Amino acid sequence: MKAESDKRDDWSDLQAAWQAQPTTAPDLAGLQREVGRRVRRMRVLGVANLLVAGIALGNCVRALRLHDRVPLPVPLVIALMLVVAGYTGWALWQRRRQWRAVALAPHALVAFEHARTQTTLRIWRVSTWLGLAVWLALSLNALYVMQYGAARQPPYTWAIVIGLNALVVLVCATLGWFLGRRLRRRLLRLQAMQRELQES
Amino acid sequence: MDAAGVALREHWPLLVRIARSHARDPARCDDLLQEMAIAAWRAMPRWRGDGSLRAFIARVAHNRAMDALAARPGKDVALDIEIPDPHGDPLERADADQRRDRLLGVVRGLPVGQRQVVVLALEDFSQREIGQALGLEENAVAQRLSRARRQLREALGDRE
Repeated sequence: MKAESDKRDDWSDLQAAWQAQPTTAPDLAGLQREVGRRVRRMRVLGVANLLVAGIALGNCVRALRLHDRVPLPVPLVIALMLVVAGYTGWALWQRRRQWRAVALAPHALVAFEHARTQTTLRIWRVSTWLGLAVWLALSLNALYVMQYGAARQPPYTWAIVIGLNALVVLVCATLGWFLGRRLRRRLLRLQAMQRELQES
Repeated sequence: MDAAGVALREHWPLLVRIARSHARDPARCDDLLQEMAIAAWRAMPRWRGDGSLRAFIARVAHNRAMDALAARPGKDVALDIEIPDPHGDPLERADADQRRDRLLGVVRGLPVGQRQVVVLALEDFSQREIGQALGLEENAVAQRLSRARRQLREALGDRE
């Protein structure tokens, strides 16, 4: 009886078979180069993020310094500045959080990835609909000012602006749809993984 | 070579076997192995000595594998890289290879939570270390191991 139980609890033969798998030597120099390349890419991305935010904020400051010639209402420019600063800070924080998640326990990591994927999906959805709403508002505004003769620009300028923005909205919506499909598939796989981890 | 490189060299076979337990296609396995090694290399400075280093490396490797599984589910073909041992009896070798391949196949077929526990047990981790690596209580590890061991024995056709 004891011998049988010992055999059941004994992993040594399985361990021997498992550990006998042939392995190749690591190319550590190659790996180190790749690690360096990725670290540099992350830094460049972070700097680019800050640079774009800096340019956007600089433009807002420049607009505010025009005083009464500001092309947009001042509260709107300030709100825009807050959005840019907030979004940049949030994006950097998210990147840092994602980097730290590498050593989470598996179930915590899956939960984290699930939440992160849902957030990304939500951002794309909201951005796409917001972009469409802004474009619609712009188009209605153009129709209004042209109809009542209050337009400072000629009709073809408005047409170009609306056409170009329509193109941007269309490209973003297509990209959002494509990414959304991929993210939804990822969510389903993560949910399946969560179930597997719980059931095991 | 820094300390992370030295540790990685030491635990390389562990990473190779973890990668193989999650990916069958050699190209995919190599990609996964590279991702695991890079993640482990970059995460190593954050190891504070709470628990063993190999448990930490195993955790990072398994996490990377799960991320890869979430990005692309496993539907690859069973083609393992074979590096034949030039020494030894060919018949014995063929028998051992067959048993090893069957074991690998059975391990890959386990649900992910059980697979992680089994792979670490096969790597000779103690139940405590498995718990550290996977963030599980020791009794949960014991339960999973007991279930998985039965499945493994049955699938491999061993008599208990």
